[in-house]
Amino acid sequence: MIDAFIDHSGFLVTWGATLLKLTTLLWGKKRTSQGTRMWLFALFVSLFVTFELDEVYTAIDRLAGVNNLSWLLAYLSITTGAYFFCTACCTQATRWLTLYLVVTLIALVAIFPFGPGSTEECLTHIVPHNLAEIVFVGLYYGFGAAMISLVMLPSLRAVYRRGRDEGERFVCLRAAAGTLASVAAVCFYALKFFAFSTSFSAPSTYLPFAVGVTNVANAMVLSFIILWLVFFASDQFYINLERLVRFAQKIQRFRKLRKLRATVIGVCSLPLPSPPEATWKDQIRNLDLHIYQELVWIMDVRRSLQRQGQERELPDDVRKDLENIGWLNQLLQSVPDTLGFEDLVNAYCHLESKVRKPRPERRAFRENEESWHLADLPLP
Amino acid sequence: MDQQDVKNRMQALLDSLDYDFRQFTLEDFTRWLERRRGRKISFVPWTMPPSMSGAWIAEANGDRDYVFYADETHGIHQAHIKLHELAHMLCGHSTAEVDKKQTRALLRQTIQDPTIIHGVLLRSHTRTSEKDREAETLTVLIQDRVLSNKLQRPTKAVSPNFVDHFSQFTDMLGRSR
Repeated sequence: MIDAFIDHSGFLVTWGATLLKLTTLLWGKKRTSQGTRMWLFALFVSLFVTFELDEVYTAIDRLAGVNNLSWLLAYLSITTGAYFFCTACCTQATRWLTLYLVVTLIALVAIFPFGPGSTEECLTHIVPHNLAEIVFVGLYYGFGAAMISLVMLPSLRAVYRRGRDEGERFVCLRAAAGTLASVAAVCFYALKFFAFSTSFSAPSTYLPFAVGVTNVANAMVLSFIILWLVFFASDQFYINLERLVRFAQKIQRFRKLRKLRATVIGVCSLPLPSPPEATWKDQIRNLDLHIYQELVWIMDVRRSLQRQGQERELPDDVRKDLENIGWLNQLLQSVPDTLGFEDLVNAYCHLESKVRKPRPERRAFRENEESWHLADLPLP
Repeated sequence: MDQQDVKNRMQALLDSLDYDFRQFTLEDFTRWLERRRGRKISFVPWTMPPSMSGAWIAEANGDRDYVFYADETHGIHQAHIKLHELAHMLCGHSTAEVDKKQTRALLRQTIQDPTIIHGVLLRSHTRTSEKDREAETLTVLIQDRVLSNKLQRPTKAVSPNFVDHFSQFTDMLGRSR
């Protein structure tokens, strides 16, 4: 029931996407070779999904009088679709890819009568019936893996080169997506072929194992599709992604600085000018300024703590917590005044981690208590 | 007074200024304020007492204001302190007034004994925490305006990170180190 739902949903989604792509292609502002190839990819994937529908599968077989003909048509479609997708993403080595496609299509058609065509009709392709069927499937999987490699290797090289020559910031992210996509794709084909081959040797023993491996492989192909799209995404996508990452970093820094400020201000006995209160919306809208304000506030406390001991006006409760003041004072004074803005923010964020997990360093500080007590906090 | 009231008043004050914040630098802003008030402003680095980061003294019989700022803190902090004192001037707050001769003598004496400035300010210091709150609010609003103007300017194809444009921002504020 669920499988049928997934199959039919996939059918609707892929054909919907194909029609949408077609309208863009026909009435879009600019028609490109890449756009056409992407539409052809969508079309062949839709055909593949259609041939894999149980009703269509059996209907075609009956009409043609050839067992598993839909399987062949599905493989021809998805192989051609993969070719168009790869050439749309990467224009390098197109001639070799075309040659390889033609050879694979001919080989699939040639092997079919000895493989799936010679066995009884089978809607699930988990257990092969003969060696020719393994070769048939291996041809398709081999084509897929080789296609990925042929496209990914020059593309990854181009990405690295671009990073080196143009200093592109997100080159690592793009390269990571590409590498992971390649790994996922190769794993998918390897797992599928492994599951298919092992179940041939002893179907009753290995069938549950093959089903499990096939599910993992399907998860791999989903990961591959997402990573592949990320790898070939536009620069604008990476710019936005970078903004998102930096925004997350900013929030993290802001939270750290705010925590540090709350800690140090708790031990400061002197009144300090406080920045105006801000709602969380204001803080999100202008995070930079609020990071800056937190920094200024911490530096206010730092200066006050540095000289707090000289004031001779320490309240009793603060005096009791001298060790804490001395410890925080030492940490705050360890940040040099010569740092640039970024390093300053990072230094105080790092300091917040030390304040939060102070054990080893604080123990060392306590052991050296006599020196800080006399040197840094001269008491009346 | 309610914080929102203070913010609204300071926002209104900021909006009423005829200064173009697109060209903001601390130096330029200071020159503009000098012209507006008809008094020169001198920034003096100083070893301040811990209870204050900056101080503003006006020459009683002259046309000069002295803004003292903590010399042993980070340049970014110093820029903030300076702007805070300028915000006091914009708000029309009153401060200690010292005779021109006294000012010079005071400056000379403070070279020997930095704590003397503390005493002078404490004696004639008329600021209240309310005034400090107003000045700090106006400071933040000015920084917000400067930063907003900066962000509205056309940027590179690849967006600069916040440190890039914020470093430029702090430089504009007059980071002195």
